[in-house]
Amino acid sequence: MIPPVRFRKREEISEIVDTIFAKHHPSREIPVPVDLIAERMGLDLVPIPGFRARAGAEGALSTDRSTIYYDERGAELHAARYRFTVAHELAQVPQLGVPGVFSDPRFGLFPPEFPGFWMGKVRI
Amino acid sequence: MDETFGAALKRLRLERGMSLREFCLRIAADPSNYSKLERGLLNPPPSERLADFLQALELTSTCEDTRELERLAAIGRGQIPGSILSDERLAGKLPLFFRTLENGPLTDEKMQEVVDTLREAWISDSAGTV
Repeated sequence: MIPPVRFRKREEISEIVDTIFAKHHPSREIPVPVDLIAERMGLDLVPIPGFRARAGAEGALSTDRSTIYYDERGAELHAARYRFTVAHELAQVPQLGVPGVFSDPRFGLFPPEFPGFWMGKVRI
Repeated sequence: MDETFGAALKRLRLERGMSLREFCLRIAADPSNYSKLERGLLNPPPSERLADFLQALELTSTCEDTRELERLAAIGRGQIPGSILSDERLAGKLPLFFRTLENGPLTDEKMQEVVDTLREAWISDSAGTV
């Protein structure tokens, strides 16, 4: 069951962004260090080799909203894409109204506590 | 729970405004493996490699953050910190210390009492040598 996503007005989004910037990126310098902001907000950023091939996505937010997983190779090759992916997942943190459920139906494939992948006997 | 090596490393990195990827570039590390280090999925690196981390964090060899990271790294590797082993007199007393600890579980309060006693003894010794 996918929880309904509440639509926010533009002003409301600006207010959220202003609050985050005031606390975690007061200089407002560009390019905005989205990955650093995510970590300063208390999230873990976990690069996983082969994530895209296995998950069919560049990144994912864990069900407990504590971790953003992303494709390591993609991040290495395409910095802008990596920044977009982190920002995309970061934006889902306040969107997820029901703990334990992803807003993206593709991630219903994964167990509730997404533990990363196993490659042979090695956890990646 | 007290801070682990990985958590301390992450805290110090973020305090310096460095993202995980930026830090990995500085220390020439694979972000995926380095991330495991911060999350405690890999053991802390040996001293020679730790020196690269300290340099990237711009920590001097004598500052308290450096000493704390070295202590946490040694503990994470299952070793006794080198600063203790280098003191022969102190190292010689470790078996006695370990035997005492093995007598039973030590509560947090009791452990704090031991720390306070040692600290007081150290302060009074230091005062006596002035």
